[in-house]
Amino acid sequence: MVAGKLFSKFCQRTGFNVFSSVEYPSLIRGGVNSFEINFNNSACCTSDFIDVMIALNEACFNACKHRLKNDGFVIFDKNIFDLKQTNAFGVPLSSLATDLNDVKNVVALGACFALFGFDLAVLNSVLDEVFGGKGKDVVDNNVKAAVAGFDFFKENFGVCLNVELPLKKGESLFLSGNEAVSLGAISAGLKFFSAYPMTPASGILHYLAAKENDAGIVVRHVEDEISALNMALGASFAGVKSMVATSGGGFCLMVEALGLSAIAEVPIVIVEVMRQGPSTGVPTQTGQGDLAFVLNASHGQFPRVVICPGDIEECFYETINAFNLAYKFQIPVIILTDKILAESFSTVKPFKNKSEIFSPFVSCAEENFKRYKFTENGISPMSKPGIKNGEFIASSYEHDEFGHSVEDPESIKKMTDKRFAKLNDLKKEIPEPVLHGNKSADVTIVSWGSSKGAVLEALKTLQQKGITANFLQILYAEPFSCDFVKNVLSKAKNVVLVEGSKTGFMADLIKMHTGFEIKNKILKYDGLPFFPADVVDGVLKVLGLK
Amino acid sequence: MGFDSCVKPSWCPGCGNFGILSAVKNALKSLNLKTEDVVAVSGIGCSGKTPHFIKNYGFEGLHGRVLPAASGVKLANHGLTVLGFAGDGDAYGIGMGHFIHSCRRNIDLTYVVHDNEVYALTTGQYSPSSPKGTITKSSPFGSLEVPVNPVALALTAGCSFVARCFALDVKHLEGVLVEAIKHKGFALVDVLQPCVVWRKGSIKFFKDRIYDLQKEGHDSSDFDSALKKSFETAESGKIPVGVFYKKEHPCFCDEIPVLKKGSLVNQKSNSISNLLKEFY
Repeated sequence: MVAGKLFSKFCQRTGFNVFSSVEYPSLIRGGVNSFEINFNNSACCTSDFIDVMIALNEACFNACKHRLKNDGFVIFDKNIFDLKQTNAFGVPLSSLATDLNDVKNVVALGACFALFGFDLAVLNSVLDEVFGGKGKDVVDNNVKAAVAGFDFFKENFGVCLNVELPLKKGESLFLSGNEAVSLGAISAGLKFFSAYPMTPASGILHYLAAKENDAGIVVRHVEDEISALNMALGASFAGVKSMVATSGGGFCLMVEALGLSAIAEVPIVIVEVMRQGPSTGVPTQTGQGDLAFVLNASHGQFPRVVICPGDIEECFYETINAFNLAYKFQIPVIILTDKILAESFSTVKPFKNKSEIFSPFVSCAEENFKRYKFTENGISPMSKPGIKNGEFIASSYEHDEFGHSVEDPESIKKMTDKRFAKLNDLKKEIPEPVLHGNKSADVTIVSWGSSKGAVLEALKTLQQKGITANFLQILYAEPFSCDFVKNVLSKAKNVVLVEGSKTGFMADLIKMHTGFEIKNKILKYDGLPFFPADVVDGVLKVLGLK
Repeated sequence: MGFDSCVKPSWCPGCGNFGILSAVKNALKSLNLKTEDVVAVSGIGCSGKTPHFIKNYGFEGLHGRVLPAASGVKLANHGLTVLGFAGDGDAYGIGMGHFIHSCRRNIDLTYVVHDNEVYALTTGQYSPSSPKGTITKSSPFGSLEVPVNPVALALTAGCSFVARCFALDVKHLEGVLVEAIKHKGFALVDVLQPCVVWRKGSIKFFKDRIYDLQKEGHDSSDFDSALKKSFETAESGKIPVGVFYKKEHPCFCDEIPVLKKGSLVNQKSNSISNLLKEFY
């Protein structure tokens, strides 16, 4: 993990685009752990095949060897196991590391640098930065380890790939989806975050907790997810922008309070980071199986927003949008990501920091303040404790304009209509889906969320095979851009859905909203992310070319 | 005026809740609090309606979830006076987990439990504080569980202010509430509340057994003594009322560095420019 991160930082500093993903089991010690780095001038997803593998033990090699390209390069620890195949290079990682406090991963990294033909000096500066906080000795150890690996490889194997470095070196950020969501939230004015640890969302809790003082936010790890969302709603009611983050199982516990947010019109942002489900499922593997759930969760009917970021950059900007929509329309907004987005890292263009933070509360109130005043657009003035004359009751019961309970038919209908009236303006404020590629194409791929990277890569491969494909990316699952989608699909020649789930729910959603039925589906539900080859092969099959 | 709301209580005539409401409003008035600085958080049940009958900001949330919501309010603005109102089902049944953790947290709010030993609003099922053998619609052959002991639970969970009162002794309740609200930390006030519909005879039952701890010379700073008293329950024939235990420790909000600068709601949002540096 550390070596992977180090190598990724090196690539970023050198000017490459990087996409790094992590595989690990639901264990604390042992198991197969891998860190995969895809770097080139346009990396945006996991690669189909691995060009170079560093195998620190035999179990890991065996688990990952099917991903290795034919005649792919392997640097393995020859102190532990042997490998006799083309381009396999045994380096005594363990013995070279013994005197250096067990940093065999950095020894391997050094060897790797010799193979690629990279300059160790840049790696050494990354080492200094990453380990500097632990003291000069630790940094020196790691530098020695890298040099040891580098020298051994260079002296024993006359192989060098001479990988070309990028010509242009623009500035970039290298971070994970969870970090991007966290930063987006702070940028949007987040002040309160409560959570219960749950893979793969815990990264948000960890990052925000560490930044409590720097960012001026209150972060609480509470006793359960029910407490987390109810507490965030209390904080939001009291005037502070709040968020919670969890995975599917935790969101299940939050479902009742989701309805409370809706009826009491207490704004909230909820991040749901999908894992492979159902139930405990596979905590450390990815999936896209929760779309139907988040769209329909909680009894009764009410407006909500569901956003599905497709890459790490969207994780940042869409979280800002989520807050602005939640607090303007006084509704719950759900950001739906998954393990792959959350825990992978990629280079992104530096974020543009917005200066204006939207303030949704009234600054003063007159007597007989109507918190739930009937208005044409459904949005009522929102006061908060401390504002004189602004007193009201935020209630989970159906209520009148002051928040007091009502049970008569006319009031029930009127207040329900008021909440739904918000949808009119809401629909106008959300961005439209994006059609990547040419308007006219042989194949139109429809998808959402983390498959974006693999699909975009597949478009290039298909182009090389003489097939034009475009990609309709659904960013907002709710409200749904019916007209835009209907328009694109009605003109499409062949439509294929790509989704990481068993049933491809996005097709059902599209049919419900537009009447258009997508018959071809490329579905993957084995816990792994889409590789570009999955999409390419799937499209070729649909076209009868495979 | 003061803390009187324009909404007329919907409780049954003779309900113990009237006594609690009266005591709460008087306590708030005597503390010279402003209506806009008081937040009443409630759950579901007869007690859940309480915030509507007080002039204040109210949050009538989910069953069992009074304390998380109230905690969120306090963390967002710790300058507010936050009161939680929950029935015994809300507080000691579905909300038991949050109750224990709130005691551990010592968050500065006052938790008033309307303990009538029954689920009144849902028409009379037994509750966590009903005596064993209670016959109701959901326990036609008698309930099987021993009742909870909220005072003992609170004490062992680290609660820094533990009291029990009787709803019909409004003056006494008012006094304890003033102390509880003034106390900087989590304060439990378990109020024995007669339910005139589902627990007929409970007024006499309580009146025959309660005695005032303070009048008996109980030292509320003595934890061991408080714990011993907490085991005097209805079965023993004597029910202590008053303040069992009171100790000042640092409260939750005082130990959060960000809140040292003032209420979170009044703090400006920070820019992310510095935070981005590590990702370059």
